[in-house]
Amino acid sequence: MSLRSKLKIIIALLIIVVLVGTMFIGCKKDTKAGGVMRLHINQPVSLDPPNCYESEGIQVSRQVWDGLFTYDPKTLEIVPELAEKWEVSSDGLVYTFHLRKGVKFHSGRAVTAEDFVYSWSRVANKDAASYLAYHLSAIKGYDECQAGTAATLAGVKAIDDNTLEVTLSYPYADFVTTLGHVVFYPVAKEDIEKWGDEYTKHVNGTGPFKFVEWIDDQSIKLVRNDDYYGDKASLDEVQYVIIADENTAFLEFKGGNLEFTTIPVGKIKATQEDPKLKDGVIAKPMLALYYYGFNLEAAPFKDNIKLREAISWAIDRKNIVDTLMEGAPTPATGFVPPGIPGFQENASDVSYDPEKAKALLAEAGYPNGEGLPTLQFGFNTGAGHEQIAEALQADLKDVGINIEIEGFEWGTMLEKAKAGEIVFFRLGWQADYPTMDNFLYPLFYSKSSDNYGEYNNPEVDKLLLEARSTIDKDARIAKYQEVEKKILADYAFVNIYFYGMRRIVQTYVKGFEIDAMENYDLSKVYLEKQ
Amino acid sequence: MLYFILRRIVQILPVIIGVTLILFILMYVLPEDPAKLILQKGATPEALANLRAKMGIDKPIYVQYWRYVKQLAKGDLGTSYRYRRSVNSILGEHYPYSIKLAFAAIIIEIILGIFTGIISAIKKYSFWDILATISTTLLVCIPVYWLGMVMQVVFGLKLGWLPMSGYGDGSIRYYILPALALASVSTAFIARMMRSTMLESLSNDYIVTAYAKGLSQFKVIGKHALKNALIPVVTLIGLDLGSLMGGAILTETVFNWPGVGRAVYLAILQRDAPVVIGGTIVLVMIFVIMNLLVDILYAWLDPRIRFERKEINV
Repeated sequence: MSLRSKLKIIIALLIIVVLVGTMFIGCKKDTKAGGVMRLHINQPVSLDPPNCYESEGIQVSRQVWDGLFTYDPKTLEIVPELAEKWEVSSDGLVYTFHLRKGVKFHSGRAVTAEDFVYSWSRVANKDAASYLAYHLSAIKGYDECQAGTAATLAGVKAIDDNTLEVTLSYPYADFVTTLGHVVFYPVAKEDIEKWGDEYTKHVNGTGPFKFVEWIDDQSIKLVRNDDYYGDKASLDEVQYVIIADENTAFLEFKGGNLEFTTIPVGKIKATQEDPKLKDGVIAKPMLALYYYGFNLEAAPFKDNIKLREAISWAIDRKNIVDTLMEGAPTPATGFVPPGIPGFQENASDVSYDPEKAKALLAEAGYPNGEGLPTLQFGFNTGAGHEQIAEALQADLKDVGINIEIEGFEWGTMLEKAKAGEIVFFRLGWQADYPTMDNFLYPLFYSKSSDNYGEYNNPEVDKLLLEARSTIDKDARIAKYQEVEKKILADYAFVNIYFYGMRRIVQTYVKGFEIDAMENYDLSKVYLEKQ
Repeated sequence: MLYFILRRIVQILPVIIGVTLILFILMYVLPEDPAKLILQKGATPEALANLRAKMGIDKPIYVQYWRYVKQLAKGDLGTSYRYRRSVNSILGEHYPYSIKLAFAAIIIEIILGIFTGIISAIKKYSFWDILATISTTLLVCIPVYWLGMVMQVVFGLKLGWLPMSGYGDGSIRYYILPALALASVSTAFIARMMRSTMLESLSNDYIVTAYAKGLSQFKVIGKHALKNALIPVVTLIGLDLGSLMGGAILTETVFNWPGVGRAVYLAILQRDAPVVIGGTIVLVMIFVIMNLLVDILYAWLDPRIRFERKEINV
């Protein structure tokens, strides 16, 4: 073969190699860009911040808005978003927030401090009858707004376009942590004036995703905000698929039509063992507690700590968690769940000990349950609590305590509890923000409207108020921890379990991180589909 | 006929008044406070009072009822307690889906039910008749929600032929499973009734005469027997359509169909009285109108009914 021919062959081979090589280079998937993520939710009540009180609305709102602060998904510590920096006065009453420049609403208008003045006043205003107004109760002027004698919050001022000053009525050291809640998101006044009650279907936020449409009972569509001040999201679009029945949603997930959903009760174990699904299971603890309350101002629980203690030791929490709830939650070992800064491991030493319970019952004046009337136990219907109530009934019967279980509508049960008609009842509490105060103050401060057990301990009241005004974080947490120990020592309630998530995500969804309050940031998510 | 129609329309008014009054009283006497159901945290007495005022439930029941009736006269069904949006807009968004699904189900019922009934009657005691009898019996016994879930798993998840849930882009493939599930029981009833009425019709002397005249089986059945046999079936279909257009709660829930049945069911659970009452009023009106249309169709199908009325009027 001549040299010329050999050269031709070599050149031809080189060209082929280069062409094939560029094919592969061209075909290399940019796995981080684009795509649509479909998440299952139930129909939200509202996306408008003053009424965005349930999980569904909060999940969507957190993608559409950035607020002054958010929470670190791992530590739940406060992370500044629209607030670049802030100062607090030495008396803990005046907060000055310096807003990040260059932040716009999705409509294109710049966000200013005045937007926060308007938005927070709107929440507090009596006419709004906001479901979430109580989150602003620490701000000066709140009571006047609620009474209708003021239209705006006296304690919220725009010093200039980028400086917001907030004055509190009393020192509240966790105030900045509360600002991560969706109720504090800014809305544009012109949008409210234009849309009125329909604003919830035309929300205009500041976050990494823009709201496009909400088709009632079907879906909510968001698209990437390409004018976002921070790192742009990878996803092109987010679709919240509204499905009322979680079994149907789970079928859709298994069919590949959803990327994120809830695992129905009764299918948790099977899903965790399914080789196709188990890697996507998210079973983290949540900042929520399942517990039973006593009416501490009514017989037989009033002034009878031994009786309350006996009930606490008689309950097999592990059985409830493992058998009835398929291991999703964890037996509660205190009142404040893990994940909250200040959580105390094994704050309570209570476990399942029927013999000890019987001994305590005798000390309470009811040996073998003699003389103790049948107690009426109330639970809220429609949420699967009946099975757990039946387990409770069986456990207490074993030690000689008879209870009659009865289901009520939630509001009815609370009314009856407050009125003393039911003295033993099921309750639950989920964190609004990751603070011990959010668990302890509403439920155990004697004058709180959420104190259904009528717990009244002046020492605890004093500690709670002191803790609220203690600026030093460690000293503050120490006070809350002392409160928790006192309420546990008083057997003011029976803790049952800390809720656990039962969520599942497709394995090709990357960067998805859900925190213990079930918040997540979809701007960090990308799809690695083949 | 016009007088008949006008009289029926006027009769709707006391029905509406009765329905609203009964529902109002029922929602009022229920122990649940809608404000407390919503304001689960931070429910101070002031906050609850504010919310009740906003919802309009802070007034005595007769004041609330009178206000509601005045609004209703203007076509305003009120404001949802939970969503704080107009009930008209909420129902307006959901009803079209229920109506579309209802018509899809009715088409299946008409085609499958009538056809099966006719074949069963013509081929009495044959293999086809027995198959139809067993199938219709099974369909009547199987709960709709269970049937729906099985269909989702088989045709949606395992085979991947059809969407499992939702309205999607509104194409026909999204209608197939929910419409079949929804139509299942009624199709069975229609088939059985069609068989029965067709057999009765075929046993009449005029049918024998028609055959004797040399008419084909197709003409005898299609032109002579079917019209008479259809009368009670039409009544059943009309009533069924009226019922379906009120929303099918189970089917809509299983298939996540965004219809009014599910919306009203959720409103009941949430004590959202304006949506419950508004949805019921619209359902009643649809039902009454459907009844009227069935009566008119009845008169058209059976001339004896028209002549009977004329004789009475003379």
